[in-house]
Amino acid sequence: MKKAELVSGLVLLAFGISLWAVLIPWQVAAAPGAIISPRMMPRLCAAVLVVLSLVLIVQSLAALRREGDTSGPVFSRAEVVATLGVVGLFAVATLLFVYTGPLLPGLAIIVLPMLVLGERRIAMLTLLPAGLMGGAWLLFYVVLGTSFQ
Amino acid sequence: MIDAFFAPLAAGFASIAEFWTLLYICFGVAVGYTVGAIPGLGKGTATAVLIPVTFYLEPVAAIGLLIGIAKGSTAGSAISAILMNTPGEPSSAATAFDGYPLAQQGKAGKALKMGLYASVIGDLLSTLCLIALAAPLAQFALEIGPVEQFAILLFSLTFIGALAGKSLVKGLIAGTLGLLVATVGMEIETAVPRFTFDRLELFDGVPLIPVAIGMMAVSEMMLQMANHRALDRQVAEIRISSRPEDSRVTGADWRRCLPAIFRGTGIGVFVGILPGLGASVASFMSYGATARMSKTPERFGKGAIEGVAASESADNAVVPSSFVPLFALGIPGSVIAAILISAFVIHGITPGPMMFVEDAEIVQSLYAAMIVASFALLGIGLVGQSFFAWVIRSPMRVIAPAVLFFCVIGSFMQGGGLFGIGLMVLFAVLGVLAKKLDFSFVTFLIGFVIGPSLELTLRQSIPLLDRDIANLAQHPVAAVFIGLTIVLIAIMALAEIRRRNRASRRSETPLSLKATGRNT
Repeated sequence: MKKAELVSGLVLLAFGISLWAVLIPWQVAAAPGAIISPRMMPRLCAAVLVVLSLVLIVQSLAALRREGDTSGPVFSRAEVVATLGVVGLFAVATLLFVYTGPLLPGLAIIVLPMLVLGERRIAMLTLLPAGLMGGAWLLFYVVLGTSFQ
Repeated sequence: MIDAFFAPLAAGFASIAEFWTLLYICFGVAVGYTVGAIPGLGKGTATAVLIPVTFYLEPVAAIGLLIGIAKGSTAGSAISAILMNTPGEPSSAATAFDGYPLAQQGKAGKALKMGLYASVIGDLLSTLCLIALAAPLAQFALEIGPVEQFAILLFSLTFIGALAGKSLVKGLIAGTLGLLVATVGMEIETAVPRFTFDRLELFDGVPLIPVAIGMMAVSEMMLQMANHRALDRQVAEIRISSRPEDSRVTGADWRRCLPAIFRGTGIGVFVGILPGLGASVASFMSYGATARMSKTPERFGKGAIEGVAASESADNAVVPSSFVPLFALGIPGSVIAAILISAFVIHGITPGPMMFVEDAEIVQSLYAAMIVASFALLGIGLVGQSFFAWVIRSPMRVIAPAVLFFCVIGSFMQGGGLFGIGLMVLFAVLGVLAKKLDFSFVTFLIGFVIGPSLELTLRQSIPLLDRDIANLAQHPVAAVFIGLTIVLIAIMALAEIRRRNRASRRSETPLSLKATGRNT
């Protein structure tokens, strides 16, 4: 965890510096006529972020020197796989939505995780998607009169 | 005095005495109860996902439904804590200390019922405290200016950042990142776009709902799916006794539990009003106080029914009282309050002191809806306890896809279509990182929600103070809150240094003992 703290401190420090030096000048106009610059709040956040990430780095370095880091990895393999899997699932669903409309991505979001997590009962694989998608259709299309287009 | 309390309440009851409004409140409680009972899901997830549905409802029905979810979920989380030793929400962890041993003794029904009664009493009394406290506090807030508002907002965010996580620095970083994300969109004075990357969808700022759904619900599902086998094993171990005497709450139980319930309610109300402390702190404080004051403290942890009552009353008392800063000052003291702000705004209401002037009737109706939700909690809890116990047996391979489906719908409806889903996925990944690296996503979300108000009041304060901090002396309330912010940071920093020093001494001791051969 202490190594992870050190790495997150370094990443946040880099982000804070790039925010101040690159992102704010690029993405927020100076507006010289304004009473208070629109860059004020982002600059305040960047400055606080740099200071706090420096404190985090110093804290984690000191802790590492004193105690070492005997803890295991912060993320387990299963957590990394699940996170990437869900991101991939949403990417596939988005593509399906663009090319086919809402029905297929809805099915994919329900059925694919069920299969990956080990659901093999045909009744459940049929009834859950039908119930959820039927309920959503009834609520949004029929009762509330809106759509997913 | 009594008239001033009850007359508006009576008007509120009259305005919600309508079938559909009452149905939506009860529906909210039932959904909340179900969601709360399932480990990993919670009131934040359920309210964020269901906000798009409330878009089409009347304001009181919509917000009543969401508050119903919050109340139901808090009570429902005791079910899995008692039956599975896995709290539905972290705030019910203390309930499991005695609830689970009671369940192992075959007295799950008794523990579940006492948990429910304690929840309802804590919730109802806390709602009455909200009604009594919010209006006078709002009256005070109406008399303060932007300088004071800025100081109070800054103090609240620091307080939440300092207490919501394990590390002060990480809490403050999370709050600062929330403030930074809140600056995306058109700047209020000059209409200069900030961090929009020429995308029209970002000109109005980053929408809250996809951010909240991503950070809370989707990230939680990612972690739960990674751990689904262990969760499913716990579900398979649930046992419920069929003996009626194990399901009854007796007079002796009541005599033991009532003092614990009232004490827990008091602690819950106090903790709920302070932004950021959260229900977990209240339930552990209440449990600890009850165990310490007991004549037989050795029973605690082995199935003491008053342990369940103490924890659940405090847990549920936090929810209504956490709305005191939201209603009176417009400051969200919890994630649920932060999410509720967007529901208020969707329905044209701005939470804060002006709400008591401009939307007084809606406030009265909301109070009445909250009291109705308390009684709905009792009715639905008693009738549906077996059903909710059955629901939590659903395996993760069924729950996770259903939750992901609702998350997509919520983000699509509230985030501008596919753009909202993209935001949801981005913040889900950030949510996983935040949870695993112990950066408080609660502080992030609250920083994000109060960011616009904080910036606006800061912009107003600078000319008012004539760009000279010494002029703060003319604003004593603001000076006190700025002073409190500095003192809080100093105290928390010292506490953190002491904790780290203690931890390092502990880790060094066994090594030195080993080296001298004195380790036994």
